[in-house]
Amino acid sequence: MVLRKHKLDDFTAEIEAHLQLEMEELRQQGLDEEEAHDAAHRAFGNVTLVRERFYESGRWLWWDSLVQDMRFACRMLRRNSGLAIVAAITLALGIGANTAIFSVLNAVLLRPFSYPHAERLVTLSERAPGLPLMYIALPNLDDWRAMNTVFESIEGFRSADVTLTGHGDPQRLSTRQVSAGLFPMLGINPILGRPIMAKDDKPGARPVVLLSDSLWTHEFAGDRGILHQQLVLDGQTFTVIGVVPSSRCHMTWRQIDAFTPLGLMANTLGGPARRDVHSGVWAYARLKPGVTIEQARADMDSIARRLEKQYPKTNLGQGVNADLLQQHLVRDSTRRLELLMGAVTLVLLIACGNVANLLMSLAVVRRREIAVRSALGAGAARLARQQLCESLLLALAGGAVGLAIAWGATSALAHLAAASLPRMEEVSIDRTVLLFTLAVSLLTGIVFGVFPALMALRVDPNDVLKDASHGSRSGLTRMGLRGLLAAGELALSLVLLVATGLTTKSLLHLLQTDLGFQTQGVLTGSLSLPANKYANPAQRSLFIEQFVAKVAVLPGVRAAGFSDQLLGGAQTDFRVEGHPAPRPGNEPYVELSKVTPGTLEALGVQLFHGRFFNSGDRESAPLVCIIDDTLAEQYWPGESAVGKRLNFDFVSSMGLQNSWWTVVGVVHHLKFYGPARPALPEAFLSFQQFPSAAGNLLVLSDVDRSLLEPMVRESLYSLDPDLAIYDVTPLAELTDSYLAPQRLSTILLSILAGIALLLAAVGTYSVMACMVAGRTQEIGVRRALGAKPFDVLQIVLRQGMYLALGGLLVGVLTSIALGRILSPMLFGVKATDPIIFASVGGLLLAVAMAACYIPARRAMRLNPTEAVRHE
Amino acid sequence: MSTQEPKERLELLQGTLDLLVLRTLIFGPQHGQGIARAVQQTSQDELLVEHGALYPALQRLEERGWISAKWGISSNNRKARFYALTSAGRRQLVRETDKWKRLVTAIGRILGPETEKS
Repeated sequence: MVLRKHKLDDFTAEIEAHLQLEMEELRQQGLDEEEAHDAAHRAFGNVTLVRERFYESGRWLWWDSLVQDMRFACRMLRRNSGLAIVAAITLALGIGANTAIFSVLNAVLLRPFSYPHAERLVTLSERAPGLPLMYIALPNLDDWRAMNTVFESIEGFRSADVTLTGHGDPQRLSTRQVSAGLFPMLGINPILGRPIMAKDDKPGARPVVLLSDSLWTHEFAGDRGILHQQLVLDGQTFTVIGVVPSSRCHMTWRQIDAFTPLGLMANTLGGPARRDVHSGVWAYARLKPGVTIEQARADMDSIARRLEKQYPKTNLGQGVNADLLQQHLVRDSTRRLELLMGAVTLVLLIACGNVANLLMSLAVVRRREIAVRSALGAGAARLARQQLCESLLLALAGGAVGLAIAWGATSALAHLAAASLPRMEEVSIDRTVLLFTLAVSLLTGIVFGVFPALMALRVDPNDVLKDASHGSRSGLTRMGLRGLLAAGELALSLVLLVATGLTTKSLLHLLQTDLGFQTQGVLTGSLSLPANKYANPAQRSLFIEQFVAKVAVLPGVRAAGFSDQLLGGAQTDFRVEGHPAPRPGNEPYVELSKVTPGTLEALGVQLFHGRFFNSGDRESAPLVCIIDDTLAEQYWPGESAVGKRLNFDFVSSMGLQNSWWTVVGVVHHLKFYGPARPALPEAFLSFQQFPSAAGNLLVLSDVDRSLLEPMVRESLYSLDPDLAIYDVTPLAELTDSYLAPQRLSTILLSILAGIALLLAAVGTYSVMACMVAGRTQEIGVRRALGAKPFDVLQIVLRQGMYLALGGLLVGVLTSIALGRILSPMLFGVKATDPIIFASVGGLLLAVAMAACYIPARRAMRLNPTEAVRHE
Repeated sequence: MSTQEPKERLELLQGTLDLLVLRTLIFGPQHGQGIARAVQQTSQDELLVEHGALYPALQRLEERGWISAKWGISSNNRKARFYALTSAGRRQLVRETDKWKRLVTAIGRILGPETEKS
């Protein structure tokens, strides 16, 4: 009993007092003792009824009966513990899968970044025709700052890697050049020293550097004396002004070692005059309160239009991309996660179907009990509630076990998904996930509990108690409901299997796609030449040539080269000699990279016409380039492109104005960004003719990495002991990540589809087995009247077939309807691929038939005499 | 009470019992039996109030805070639970009385003068 103002005992006393008072009054009116007693009671009415009504009027009555129902449900489940365990495990699978996927979805899509007002953070970039994503030219960034009305602040940043010398062995640091307001905007304050200030953030300022907390603890042992010390980065001396907790940042920012002022570098990035230099700068901005992203976009668009008018030569056709940071980072993952969430929901629904089936078979057994309870006065609602209580209890048990499963699965999942989804290090089972699991468990309990509850409502005590035999009218309708459930399970698993089949086929297609280069046996490593030591192009060119030559003759090395870019190029517009100059703002783009002789050979690129670069393609020789077949087809279809000349805007902007590069070779197009992403046409310049200060070594060899790497380091050390080769990685490792998202979806969908198939098979089997059990008597009669065992088999199989075909038909229609959602994620396969549909349908039909066959065989072997007597 | 009543008593309309209880308590705290008697006598035995039916009504009114209850001693020295009108109950009584009068007038208009007289 729970809190009550007015206790029941007290109430009993009150009624007693009432009767006494009444009797006294009646006695005063002249009645004798007995008459007064009777009259008082008559006037009062039914004492028990009043007491009962008093009891029921308590607000906590529902709680009392809930406790009672729960206690009863516990007893019921304990008595049928086998069934309860199977049901709980089934639910645990479904709920566990949901919890695990939701914990990922929660970390990626729902949980805000830990910055103040993270929902108002916006990422900014530029775009040009043919280039949907372009770095920001610094003068444009300054103009946005001055002209916009929608942002509280706009802060730029740029990734840059530098070599730290003078502190042990030379080592590579990843740094970000950031404008002074970036950390304040993210709400991040130095834990030591001072932040970057406006006076640091301009060309010619004294160079300063902020260390990240991880670099500070790992490299400098958390020594507070680091302040005001000097570090040599790429040959330039920087003073340490502080330490920032970059571990509080999101994503890649956490791995940054140090931060320098962006404005300090302004001159090297083109300076205030160069609006055509878009070099590595992105920006974050914070919206003013109440400003929507659409308003911000409109404002930035109008600014872009004004700049276009003001600087038509550089800004024509250019626009600004503004996206909410949170959405921007997860845009590619959203659809994939939603697909997975949909898939786990299907699995859970199938699990619900199975458990509903189990409980209904239990309810059949309990029809007598329910009928007795109903005959004794239990209302239909009360009986249904009793059933629901059992369901909820089961669901909660399943949820608890599911949570345990999810606990294990979540970390495995985060590990598996690390390459394909952002924010995986944040995945955890937090309060939101726990609430989700609880809600899903309760909802699940209601969903599968409705069916047995409905059955309880339909039990007519008269029928059941009078006629103990099975298989009456209600038996048939019961089969209908359960058959419907099984058919629904088959339909849902078909949807899931089709989705899995399609993504698998799509992945296979992608895996077979020719990238245009080989990755097997190719080792890559990065190198950058400090500007002070290798100031002029000739020095760089010579050093790289010597280094590559040394590596190329190492034992086991088949080809070696050096390229300024790894898997990609600088996107630049270009002109073709003999073709009219493109309309400004409408220029075509290529991916341009600079490679030494040996690079394309190491990548195993196929040469269609002409030749690869050779040692003769150096400074003094005529400028040469190699283009891919896409570009060649575009401008010189049906003829050789060798001997034609091109001019690249990027090269012009870097000092070689009006340089025309003669095509000496045409190679196969390279899918730099993997099979699933389109790449621009490509052009390669001779590194020797236009050297850069940093790039990547590519070595094709027969020897193991563990042997090759020390030899390469030794070669470099012998040339310049101050240099370090870093990020040494097999090329295959880099390209593997291309298909990581697809692979992840396929693996997870396969697991889920497997669970779904298993559950659906079990569901179909249990329905058919129950059906056969219910028809035992009828089958016995048929056999007695001369039906052959084969006829019996046919009867059962036919019933199963109807059920399966119905389910599959619904599944096929649903799959076709849902194909729209899946198709953007498919490559080389249509969402309605007939082979997938046919094979999945066939598989499910076979599984359903197998599930029917076992009970059918049992029916076939029934002894007619026993069967007729069967109760 | 001991003998069969000659005239047919009126059954209470739904919800009117609350109003009668509140009205009765306006003269001061009273116990359940007292309220039952008072209702019966004031209505000149026209109304059929089963004493038991009073208690759920009292319970309800107490839950809503319109009346408060405490144990006391009756005029003939018996322990009884006395109910008293709270100020919220007083306001409720005014509201309910007003509503009831409007209802009676409205119904009376519809039923017409003849019926009213009889």
